[in-house]
Amino acid sequence: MKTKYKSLVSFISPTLGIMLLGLWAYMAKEPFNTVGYLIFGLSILMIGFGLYFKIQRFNSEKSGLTSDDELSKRIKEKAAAKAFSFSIYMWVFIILFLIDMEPRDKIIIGLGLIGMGLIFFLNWLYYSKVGISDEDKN
Amino acid sequence: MKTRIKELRARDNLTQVELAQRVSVRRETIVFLEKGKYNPSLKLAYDISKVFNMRIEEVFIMK
Repeated sequence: MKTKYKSLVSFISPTLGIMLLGLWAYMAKEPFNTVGYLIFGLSILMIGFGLYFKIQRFNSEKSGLTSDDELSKRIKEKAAAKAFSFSIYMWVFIILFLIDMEPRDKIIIGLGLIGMGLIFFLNWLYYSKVGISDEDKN
Repeated sequence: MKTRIKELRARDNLTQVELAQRVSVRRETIVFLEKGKYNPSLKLAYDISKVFNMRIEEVFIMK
């Protein structure tokens, strides 16, 4: 099935996000505490930003412009790389200092983090071998 | 890197959107290029230079 506007499909995830947030708020047995409001507010903020950029993309496509190009892809890649490395350190910090859990559970999460690092390394090896060409291909 | 894109667009009476359409990029990419905030790929530099009928080094100037 060929969709005329690729970016229309990307509206599905923020829509689902809003629905889930609404469902969570509706099914909460008690009123939110401070942390609950914080999580709710941050989620709304992130979905709001996501929607803003998706609307921009949609308008770009409507005016005959491409919605994704080499610059937007490079920005995404750089942001993803930074997010990955910060997230690893963040999770190590959280499990070492912030969460009180069984040592076994810490080991499982630690193995998960090592797995993430391994997946990154394998991807790096692969792309180092095959190279990256035609970055502007959608 | 400096570019002469804005000057050449004015010369050829092209808007940012029109140039973006011709080289298949987003308008924001043209904005970034004009402000010198982005170094394009060789292909994009070539495509833009072709639009203005000039050589790459006449459109993009390495500082």
